[in-house]
Amino acid sequence: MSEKTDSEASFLWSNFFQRDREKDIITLLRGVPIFEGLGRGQLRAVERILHRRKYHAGEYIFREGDPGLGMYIIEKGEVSIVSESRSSEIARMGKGEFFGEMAMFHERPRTASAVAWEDTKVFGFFQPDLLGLLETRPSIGTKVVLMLSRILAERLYRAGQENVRLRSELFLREHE
Amino acid sequence: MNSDMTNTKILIVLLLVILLVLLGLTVYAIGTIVAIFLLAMLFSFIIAPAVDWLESRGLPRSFASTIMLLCSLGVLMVALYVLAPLLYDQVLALQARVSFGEMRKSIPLMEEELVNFFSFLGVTNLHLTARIEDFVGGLFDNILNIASGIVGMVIFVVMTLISTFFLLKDGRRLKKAMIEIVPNQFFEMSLSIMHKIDWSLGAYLRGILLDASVIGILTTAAMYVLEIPNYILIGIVAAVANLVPYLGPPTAALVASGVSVITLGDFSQVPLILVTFTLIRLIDDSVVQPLTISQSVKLHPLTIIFTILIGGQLFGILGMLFAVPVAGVIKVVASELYFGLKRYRAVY
Repeated sequence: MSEKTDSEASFLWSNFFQRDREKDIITLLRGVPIFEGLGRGQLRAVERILHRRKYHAGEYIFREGDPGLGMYIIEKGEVSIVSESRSSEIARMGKGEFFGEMAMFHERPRTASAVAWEDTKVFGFFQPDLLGLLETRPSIGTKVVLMLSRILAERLYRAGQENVRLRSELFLREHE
Repeated sequence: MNSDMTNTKILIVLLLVILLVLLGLTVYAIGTIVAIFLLAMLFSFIIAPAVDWLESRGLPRSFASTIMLLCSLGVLMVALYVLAPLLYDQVLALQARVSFGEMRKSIPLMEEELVNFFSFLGVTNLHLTARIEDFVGGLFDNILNIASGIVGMVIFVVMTLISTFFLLKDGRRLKKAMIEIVPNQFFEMSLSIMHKIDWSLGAYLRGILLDASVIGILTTAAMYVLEIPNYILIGIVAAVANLVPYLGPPTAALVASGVSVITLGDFSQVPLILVTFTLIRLIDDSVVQPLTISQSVKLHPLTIIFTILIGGQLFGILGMLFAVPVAGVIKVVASELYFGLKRYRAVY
């Protein structure tokens, strides 16, 4: 009797935490711009195709020059984006932020390395899974692709603006 | 540095060889279980795009898998219901022709002609009547054997169907679980290789099935038009024989010619049959295969010959038939593995 109660309690306990964990993940994904506009059920479908990985401090998530396969969303910890060729840190990212999204569209070599700054948990979201999502759940897949395109377009626009600013600065310096 | 690279290459080749030997031994030791799993994998590869399509229409994956599996089973049952009695009649008719028909009288005459023609080889007696009767009788016996082993077959089919259902329904979860145990260092590489193998293998298996079906239908239609009896039997032989490059199509042409000679008692239709098979071969090489099977999977003729010999040595006629597709599968897996490792600079 007591054993049964114990196992029931443990089941309820783990189930409670499982639901809690799921809720946390859904809350985390809801905050990621790529998944903006997705409903709870849709986010759960996305969560099913994500790959959860743990990295120790100093461990490489991917290396500069490797073929890019997809992007990562940080669940816990910090990740440093490092340029190996320039031996410098480009950015430091934390919970809810994402990196490597260019690889969702093109299997080009990674332009920088990603290293876990501390013990880190990430969700990997990869091109083959996005293609699978587009095939099996097109309503979710197209929303994700649209949001990814918006983010990349926004970056392209900002890079263009920066380019114009730098050119005009250079022009002014040359004519001073 | 160079010697390091050579050592890595040798190690990889050694590991691959050990893996292949272990795989071969496992297949040999627990053949039926492996056959069930492989067949289930084959079916799930073929049916998966249809399940994906149904899922994209809003059906849950498990429901979509059940529907597609039942549909495939239905098609198979209808085909068996329509074809099995026809096939059975055709085998019986063929046997009757050999045993009691005019062919029994004309075989000795043909044999005499052949012995005269090949007299320079010192051949005096070919025992053609006995050999043909043995062959056709054997065909009949095999069908009876299959019928008597029906219980074993039912268990085999049910197990294969259950495995196919779970592979269709939980295939992705299974892959995800497999990738979860891969160390971080090889994670992206493994995922990329696994996806590429999955894609290429699916395309290859669907390709050879489509190719064999087209050849079977073309052959059946051509034999029907030429009024060759046993046209369905010949069509099936041609479709299955098509799995064996180089040797398959001539074998099917030989069977068709044999049936024609046995039925008519002369060689009058043989040239027409040979021309028809050559035309079907040309259509297959120039139209069907380029559309269905990727050129990169093509094997070297010498590889094909040795593959067929090994298949025959290990598993008899069935081994010979499926040796080349299995070699094709191994080639797809090995090349995707190699290029994947190369892309990630694990090999140079």
